[in-house]
Amino acid sequence: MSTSTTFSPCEISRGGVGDTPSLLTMIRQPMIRKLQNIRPRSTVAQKQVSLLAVICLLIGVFSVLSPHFLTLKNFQTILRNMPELGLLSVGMSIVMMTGGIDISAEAALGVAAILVGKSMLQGDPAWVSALIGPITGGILGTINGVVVAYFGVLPIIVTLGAMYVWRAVIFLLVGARWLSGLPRTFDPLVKTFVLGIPIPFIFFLLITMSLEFLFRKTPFGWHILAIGNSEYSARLAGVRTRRVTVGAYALLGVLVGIAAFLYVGKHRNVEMTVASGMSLEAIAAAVIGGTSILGGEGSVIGCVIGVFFIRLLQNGLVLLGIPSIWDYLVLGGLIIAAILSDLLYKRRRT
Amino acid sequence: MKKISKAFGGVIALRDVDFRLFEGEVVGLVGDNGAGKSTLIKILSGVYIPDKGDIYIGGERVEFRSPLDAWKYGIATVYQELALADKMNVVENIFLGHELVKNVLGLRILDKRRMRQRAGELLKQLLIELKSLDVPVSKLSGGQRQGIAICRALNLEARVICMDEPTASMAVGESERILDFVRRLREQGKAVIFISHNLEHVFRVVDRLVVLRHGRVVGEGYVEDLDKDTVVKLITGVLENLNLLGEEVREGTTGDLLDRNGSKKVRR
Ligand SMILES: Nc1ncnc2c1ncn2[C@@H]1O[C@H](COP(=O)(O)OP(=O)(O)OP(=O)(O)O)[C@@H](O)[C@H]1O
Ligand SMILES: [Mg+2]
Repeated sequence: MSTSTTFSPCEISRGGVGDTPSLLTMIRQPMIRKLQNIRPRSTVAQKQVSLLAVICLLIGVFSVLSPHFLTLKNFQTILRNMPELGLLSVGMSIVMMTGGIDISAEAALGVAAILVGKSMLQGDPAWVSALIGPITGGILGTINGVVVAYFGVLPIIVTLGAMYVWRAVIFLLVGARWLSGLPRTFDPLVKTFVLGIPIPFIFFLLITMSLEFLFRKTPFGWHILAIGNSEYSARLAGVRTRRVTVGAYALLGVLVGIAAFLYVGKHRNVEMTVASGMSLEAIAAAVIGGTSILGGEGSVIGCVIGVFFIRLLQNGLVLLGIPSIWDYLVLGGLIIAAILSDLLYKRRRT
Repeated sequence: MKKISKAFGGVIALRDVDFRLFEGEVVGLVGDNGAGKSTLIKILSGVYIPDKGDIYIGGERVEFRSPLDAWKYGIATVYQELALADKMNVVENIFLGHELVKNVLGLRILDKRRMRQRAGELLKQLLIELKSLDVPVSKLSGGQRQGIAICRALNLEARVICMDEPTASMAVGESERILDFVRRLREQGKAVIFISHNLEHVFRVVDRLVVLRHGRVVGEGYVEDLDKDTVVKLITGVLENLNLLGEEVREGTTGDLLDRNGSKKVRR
């Protein structure tokens, strides 16, 4: 990126996080310059550096305001709350990089969670119950992908429709009741800590890192980005655009399924409204982590930071005793701010 | 290509177009805006599927359902719209869809080093100068972008190369190099379809000319037998039809696209 078009960090502060003090901006400036020199694909990296700075700031503020915040136990809680959203967000970022979106992810998580739960109640072997999650998710994701790629319907329409369909399926599966009292089969997996870190979180990190590898080091990543830049151009260049698009949605589905499995293992009950609002959180985390809402650029690993940020913020708000309705307000504002800063930044650059 | 027809909705882009191409030959495709030139080569490249008509390669009837299919038969194309991924960098754009990979434990891993090196070579061949291979192509000039699109097609080492206005946004020096390069491709025995509105370029580089008007072939002939005036008249419709091809070429080839025997009949 040439220096003439360098994105000044002040712009993030204006577009993204309204109240970053100017002192911080000054500290960030050299950091961003440095990062630019190391990494050519710096648009995304710049966003991530700014995000890290904001996270540090938040941690500082919360630590001052609440004595319970800066404790090992509290951070363990945050990490425990991350994996499900994290998996969704990672898959979502890949779909978003193709220029798509999946509103139905949360409902697919619900369907998968209920099937996993039912299987556990039936007393199926643990591995069967565990596999049902990703398989269900994969199938649902593939359906979305096929409709998007082969019938050319706008992703937002397809997946909005799919969300209602999956929600209806959930209702058909459990009626207006809960699944509860599930066996503790997966407790050793989901409730154990290794070196103070919850196993599901480690699991999530490993999956994210393999996907980051897949994304950066294999043609798949280039194809995803090219489709997000222009599907038509990608096709002319020789990319099997339909296949790759279906692959992206299917991959998200599988991740959603794994998340469902972790969710059920941890909570041992599933209610009808399970995971509602999570698609939007996942989109927010992806955008905050550097993925463009317009597709064509982004980061898998950035989702980890994005999810951490969201969970940290929610955690802090709870500790400060702020009613949870404000959660929505903050999250909604955050999504809009993140998307706006992304768009504003683009306009300035071109 | 035989009796190719294609319509978009109500617009008939091509009607019963016959088109032949031999190895080691550069054919110019000219015509007014909207004459159907791009549509014709997009059919040959597998972007569009023709409504009617067939494509033959060396006598074998083929069907292309995607650009990838056409590539398998050795056809590469520089599209008029370039088909670049704007936010991706130079190397990524040149190799997109045809990445060089190395096999690591059964995984196809991008061989970025080799691609960089080869991208450098390709750009050098065309004498295209870039400050960096890491810039997103949206930051480059029109001519540079065109150069990258050409590199992408060259990288495929195809037998047939279609170039849709490859010099449209290039400066004098740069387009000269492209013309030189087209001649070199001919020497290597490749077949080139060269589309341009610049008749001077066309006359300097092609062996044979095909004129399209309103989706029909209205004129064909070797450059030696044609002059710019005649071609302009054909393009604009002042002259309605002209076919200067010897019978031997038209009869002898029965619509084959590529044919070693056919190429002997090309006059130099
Ligand atoms: N994808 C498309 N959808 C609808 N109509 C199209 C499409 N592509 C081409 N056409 C129409 O087909 C006709 C031929 O277009 P084509 O692009 O082949 O012309 P061309 O000879 O390449 O023109 P130019 O010199 O301007 O590039 C035009 O009338 C155009 O409007
Ligand atoms: Mg054209």
